[in-house]
Formats: sequence, C-alpha cells, structure tokens
Amino acid sequence: MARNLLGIGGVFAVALLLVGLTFSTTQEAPADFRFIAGAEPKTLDPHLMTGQVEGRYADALFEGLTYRDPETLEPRPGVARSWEISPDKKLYVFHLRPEARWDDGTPITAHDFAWSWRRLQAPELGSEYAYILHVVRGAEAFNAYAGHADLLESTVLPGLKALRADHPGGIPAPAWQRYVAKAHLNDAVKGTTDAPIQAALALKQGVLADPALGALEAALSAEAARRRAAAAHARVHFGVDEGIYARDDHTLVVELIAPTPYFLELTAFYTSFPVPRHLVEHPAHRDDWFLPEKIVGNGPFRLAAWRVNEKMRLVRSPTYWNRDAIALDVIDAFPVENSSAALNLYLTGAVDWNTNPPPLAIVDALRARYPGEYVLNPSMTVYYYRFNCTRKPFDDPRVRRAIALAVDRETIVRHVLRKGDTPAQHIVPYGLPGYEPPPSPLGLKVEEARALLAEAGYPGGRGFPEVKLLYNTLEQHKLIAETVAGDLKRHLGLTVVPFNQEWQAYQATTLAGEYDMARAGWIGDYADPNTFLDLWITNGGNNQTGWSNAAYDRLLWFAADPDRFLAEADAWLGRLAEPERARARIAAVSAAPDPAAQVEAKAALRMHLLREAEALLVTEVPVLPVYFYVNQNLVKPHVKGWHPNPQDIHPLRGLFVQRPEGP
Amino acid sequence: MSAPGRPAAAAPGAVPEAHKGTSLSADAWRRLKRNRAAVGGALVLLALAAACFLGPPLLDRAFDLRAAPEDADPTRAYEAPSWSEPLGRDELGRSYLVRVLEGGQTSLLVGIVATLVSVLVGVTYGAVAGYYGGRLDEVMMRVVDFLYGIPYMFLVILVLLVVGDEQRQSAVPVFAALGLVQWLTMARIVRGQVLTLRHQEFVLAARALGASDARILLQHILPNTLGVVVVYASLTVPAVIILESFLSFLGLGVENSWGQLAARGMDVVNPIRAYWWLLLYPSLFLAATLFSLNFLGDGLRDALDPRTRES
Repeated sequence: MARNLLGIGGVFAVALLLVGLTFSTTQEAPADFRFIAGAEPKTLDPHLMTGQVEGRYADALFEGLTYRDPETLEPRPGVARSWEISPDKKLYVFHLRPEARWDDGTPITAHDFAWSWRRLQAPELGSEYAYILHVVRGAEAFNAYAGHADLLESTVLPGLKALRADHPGGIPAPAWQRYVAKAHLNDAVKGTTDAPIQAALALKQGVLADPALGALEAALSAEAARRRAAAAHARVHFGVDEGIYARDDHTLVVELIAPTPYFLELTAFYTSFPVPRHLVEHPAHRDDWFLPEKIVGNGPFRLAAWRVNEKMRLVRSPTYWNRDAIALDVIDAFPVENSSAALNLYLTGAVDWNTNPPPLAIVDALRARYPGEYVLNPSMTVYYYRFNCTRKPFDDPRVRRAIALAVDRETIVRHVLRKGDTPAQHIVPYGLPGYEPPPSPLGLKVEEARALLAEAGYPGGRGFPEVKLLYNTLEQHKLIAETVAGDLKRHLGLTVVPFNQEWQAYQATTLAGEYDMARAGWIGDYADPNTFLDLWITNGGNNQTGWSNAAYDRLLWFAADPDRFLAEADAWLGRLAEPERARARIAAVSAAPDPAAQVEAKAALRMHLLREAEALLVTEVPVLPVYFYVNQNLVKPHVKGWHPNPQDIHPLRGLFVQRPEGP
Repeated sequence: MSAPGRPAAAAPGAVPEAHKGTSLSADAWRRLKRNRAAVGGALVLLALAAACFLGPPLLDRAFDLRAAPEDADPTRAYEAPSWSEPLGRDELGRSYLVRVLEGGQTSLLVGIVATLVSVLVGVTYGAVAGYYGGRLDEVMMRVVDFLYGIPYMFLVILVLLVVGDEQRQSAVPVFAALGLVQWLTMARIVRGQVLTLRHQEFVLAARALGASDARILLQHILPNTLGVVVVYASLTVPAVIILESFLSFLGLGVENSWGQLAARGMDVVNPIRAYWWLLLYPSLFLAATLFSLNFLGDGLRDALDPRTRES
C-alpha cells in the first residue's frame, strides 16, 4: 500500500515537473511595445504581399533603397546612402551603403536589388503588385508582353478568323466589341501605338470589313511579334543591363520610361524591397524562404517568433546599419481581429497601440472619453463596392450607375459609421497635392436611378436577378452592406442579399471574379492619384471587376508620360470630357520659358489626364465609391514617435516608449 | 403478463379490469396536466411561438414596427427601449422587438426541423438495428459508436465547411448538420426499446398470424417506442437550439437566429458603453424557450415513462 502511494506520488511529481518545465520554457521576456496587428499576414514575401497588415511587417523586416520618414513619410536614405537624378528625371543613380547587411551577415549589393526587381517582374512569380514598377524601362515587357503575345496568337487571331467566317460581309460593330471584351483584346494590345488596332478598338458603329479587317489581322500579328521580341529582349536584359542594373557593387542605376514624381516613394514601398537572393535561389529554401524559421531580411527588426493566432515577436536587428536609431528592442504583434477583444486588450493595458477599429457602437463615446488617445484623421483610403462587369446585368453601365445613384452615402457616414468619414462620389480621395477631382455625376439621385434602371430593361426592379453582396467578415462591412441592401430595395426594388466570407476566402473569390458585387477598400500607396486610378486598367492585378476600357487604359498610359499625349493630342482632344482645360495645359507646356517650367507644366497636364481618366470612371462606374475613411487608432500616451497621417502608416522603427516617472 | 407501457389494444385480453376505460395516452395526459411546471412550460412555449410567428405582421399593421432591409433607418440607430419601441432599436434603427421575434422563428424552426431529422434518421436506424439484431445490429451500432467518438462540434463544422459559402448563408445545411449529429442517441434509445419489445408475446402473436416484418415494426413495435421518442425529441429541441446559438457565436450559425442576435449584442458590450438591450432580449427569449422546453420535456418523461409513474 505504502509502496503504491509512493509510486503514485512519484508519477505525480514527475508530471508536475514536466508541467513546470513546459511553462518555464515558454516564459519570455516582456516586450517593450505591444500592438494589435489585425489579421495574420498572408505572406511575408514583400513581392507577393498586397495588404496593409503585411506591409507593416515588410517595413519592419526589410528595407528598400529608401525608407519612409516616420513623421513625414518622405523617402529617407535607406540602403541607398545617396542618389543622383538626371535632368530629364528618367535616370536615377543610387549609391548603396557598404555597411548594409542581410541579417545573416551577408552584405547587400546593387546586384541584390537588380536581381530582386527582376524576380518581381518575372511572369513566373505572378506578383499582383508588379505593375507598380512598370515605370522602369523593360519591366512591363518582361512582366507581361510574353503573355500578351500568347493571348494574341493563341486566342485573339484564331477567334478573329472564326468571327470573320461567321460574318462574310464584314463584322458588325456590336459583335466586334463583344469579341474584344471576350478575348481581352484591350489587355493584349495595351499601350499600342498601332493605328489600325486603335481604330478597330474605337469602332462602335458600322461594320469592320476588308480592307480594314485584313490590315487589322496583319497589325495584330505584327503586334504579337513585336511584343514577343520585346519580351525576349527584356528577358535577357531587364535587371542585367537595362531598366535596373548594378554599375558596381554599390552603385545601382534605374532607368525610367518617363519622369515619375513618386518614384522615390516607390523605392520605400515594400514591392520594391530586395529579397535575399542567396536564400530565395537556394534549392532547399526556394519555396519557403519567407517562413519564420528561415526568413532573412535587412530591416530594422528581425522575426524572433511567430505563433499563429497568438503573436508575432519582432526584435531589433543587430546587423541593421542604423540599429542605434531604433529605440524598441522587443515588439509583440497580436493578430486580433475581433474589435471588442482588441478594445478590451487596449483598455486593460495589455497593448499600447490598437490598430483595429473599435466597435462602431461606441465611437462617439470613445471620442468623448479618450480624446488624446483615440486618434481620428482623414485617410488616403476609399471604401467601395466592385461590380462584376463580366456578369449580367452588371455588364450594363446604366445598371451600375442606377445602383450607384440609389445609395445614400450621407446616412451611412453620419449614422452608421459615426466617426467623421467623408461620403465619396469619387475614387480618388480629396486633398492629394496638385489634383482636383472631376465633377462627379454620382450622389443620391433616386429619380435618375429609377429611370436608368427602367431604360436598362428593369422598370421598378422587375426581372432583376437577386444580387449577392459579398463582404469580408467584419461588423462594419456587414452594417454597410445591410444599409445598402435596404437602400436598393427601397429605391429600386432590387433584392440584395449580403453575405460574408473570411478575408482569405473573400480574396480568392474576388480574384476569381465569382461575385455580383463585392466590398473593397484601397489605401493609396503614395500621395498621387495614379495609385487609385491604375487599379482599373484592363486586367490590372487589383482591378478584379472585369471592367476594361481602351480609352481609360490609354489615358493612364498618356499620364505615365505626357509626351505621349502631346504627340497624339490633336486626335485625342475631341474625345476628352474637358478639352478646354486640356488645351490650356498643352499651351502652358509649349509656352514654358525654361526646362524646369516645362517639367512643371507637364506635371499639370499629367494631372489633367488623370482627371479625365477619373471622369470616365465615375461615368462608367465599374466600382461604386461609398466613403473615404478616417483612420482610427488608439494609442497610449506613453507611446512617442507616433504621428497621424493619411496613409495610416506608422513605422515601428520610429516608435519609442516614454512613461511618466512614477512614484 | 401485462407489461407496463403497452397500449391496451396491442394485446387484447391482457387489460386488467381496474384500468378499463383509460388508455395509456389518456393516463399520460392526466399526469401531464397535473405537472404544473410542464403545463406552464407548454403555455409559455405556445405563447412564444404564437408571438414569433404571428407577432411581426401584427406589429407591422398595428404599431408600424418593422425590420425588413428596406426599413433600416440609421438615423434612429441604438434608440433605447421606450413605450413606442418596447425593445429599443438595433444598430441600423430597425425595431428590435420585430427582429427578436423573427429571430425566434429561425431558432424555433432550427430546433424543430433538426429534431425531426434526428427522429427520422434515429428511429429508422435504431428500429432496424434492434429488430433484425445479430450481425447487422452489431455493425450498425459500431457505426454509431464510431460517430459518437468524433466530437460533434467537429462534425457540424465539417459539414458546414463542405457546403459552399453561398449555401451556408441559407439555413438548410445547419438544419441538416445539427440533425445528423443528434440522431445517434435517438438510434441507441430506440434500438434498446425494440430489443426488449421484439421478443414479447404480442410480437410473437403477430408473427404467428403471418404479419410481415414491416407491419410488425410499424404497427406493433414503433407505437410502443413512441413515448420514449417523444420524450427524447422534446429534450432534443432545446439542445439543438443551444447548439445553434453556440455555432452562431463561432460565426457559423443561421442568420438572424437568437444566437446570432445575442452574438452581435455581445460585440457592443464593453467597458465604455453598453447597448444592453441588444444582448439582453434575445438572451431572455432564448432562455425562456429553453426553460419551457426542458420543463415540458421533463413533464412528458414523467407522464410517459412508467418507471417514474406515481402510484
């Protein structure tokens, strides 16, 4: 008996010891700074990420040629110590710091950057954000032209032959335009300068027949061959001796196709960050180098631990060139998505910074009670609904416009959100430097909406199919979706069923285009309208509406280099919404007394071209803008170096903690 | 000779003289009526069901209280309960009374439909296993044991994840999933009953008279298990309602059930300011329903289960 008891006691003691050991090994040093990070990151590979949550980690773990100043967000010398810009603003020479290191000790060279940008643009990688660097010479050719040529040769041309056989007397314009949409022809010849192709794409009436048809076929073949050749050229040269290349280990040259005012900002953006070639190309790590136990970065922090759905721990990198300027040693990021849970963690002091918007129900109370900690400031972010423009009835612009005219944005902002957001009748948020948005036909205009819907064949909503309104799971998206559903029922008689998916499922669904209407938001990547407008170029990675408009693509292509527009201005002025304004700006360019004034005048012309593009967007309404966000943050008073800004970017590198001296 | 709990008609001649003129169901009814908790539960339940299904159209007509999508009026969001709006308004200014009543429709339907599914599957399965016995019984009951071994929540979530996101917005998969995890106990209980019944004299008599298996099962055996089935089913309804509420808290439940309303009410309870009515009222209705169902179920068991019969 006694021996039995002893045995039981022994087992119990061993078990206790094991439990104790388990807990003692999980005991970690407390972090200097803890914050609510939102969702779990989808990836840590800066070339593949697209979200704000991921971007925050990328800024901590990696560093580009420049980094954003924590206060002003202006680009500051990062891996590049200094740079020179050519007078025509198309050539950048970056001088890299010799002391910059990957955090495994390997030095970072200009070759790493050239190789990384080449990897980003490689069609095999399939980066959704690659287009953001298409301003670099050869990048677009390398990234997309081979795909265009394939599309032209394997789909467009055989299809055109078949179409021609179906219409021996010439192809009627409607059938032709249907074919253009179906074969994604706009995408395949994006930016072409070829006259027969442009004429054919613009054809809205009459018949496409010989000899124009024969010329078109020949032009498309030639275009395919041209693109194939350009792609082959870029495959050999891009990142090697063209576009971006290393002059020596610490000198990097970047050639742009046109002056790009926001280019330096792009070098601080995660898509342009270098990735460790020695790891990414290593056969054993190629597919999972971005996993926490392997990842090597060059940023101010390194990843110490990642426990999914618990926390991510970042520690100051001992190899970062500017490590002495980093105040925080240990940071814990908690992936909490529930707004109540996040708020409670903040209020009980378990975190210092809550990035999660608090529950809408209490925003007014929070404003009153925590005026210094609850920071609200206008954001460079637009909340919108995508229409699936490939699906009936949303392929009809009248239907899209009717719906956009029946949504009461004012009520949503004032009574549902209640935190001071701005109702949006545009896609580009107000207040971007140098940009004045075009007049918008949107707004709450119920009579017009009803008339448009009737004109499209659905008087009083009769015969209109049930609409599924997709949103990613979040309380405020649900409330807005329900309000919009109510508006559309009340004003147009449409039955709209809101339904939700988790963030990752939602992303897959919208990417595959399997929705009717889907909620989305876009945070400007830099302070220029281009970051909002180039979303909607044909088949852009973030377009996801299926909307395609040749004139729109062309306007953005012009805006990338106003000289292109100047070359074709006469033909184009008649197609613009505001030709007078355009004419005035063209005159200003030719009247410019010196090159600097000319650059400025061209910048103004560029802004006008972007304004024309947006005017097209608010007429065709492939997306329904709802409101421009205010950013919401809860920040403890002891957190310093945290500055509100429209992009809602608060680099961890700039934060420090200063508690008042306690008794 | 007279096995308790058997209808008098099933075994002619076996009825004791003293009980002549009262059938088992009449007996049970009498006992049920004497159980105050059960009667109270039944009345509350009836009132709740009537309110949930008849209330919304009446409130619409008589008091202008509505909660359809087009009745959202965000300018009146979060109005506290008042005389004109007894349960306040929700986050989009819809009448919360109507929303809670409509939520009751969903919750009650979920409970009843899922229970019917479990009764249908469980009774059939258990009766077949118990009646035929032998190897078949062995195999069928091991399958049940196996399914018992899998955590039911896991099964439900699995079923809900297998159906697509779009179907998940409708209530049918939840009905089916909940019913499919609830039938196991029902199958065991019915099998046990059938096992004791199938060797009884009245079954032998029926078989001697040449009745088919189907007829024996349907006419002679199943009516005798009815009491147990009713009792267990009445206890399954609240279990299912609770399970659905739990699923709602995990974000997998049926839209606009009481569980979902309460889950959303939870989101606005925090140290800053609480819109208490959003959480309180669906929870109260849910609790009242569960109490009534449990009292009624207990009462039914007392009335139908002869072993607890009062002398």
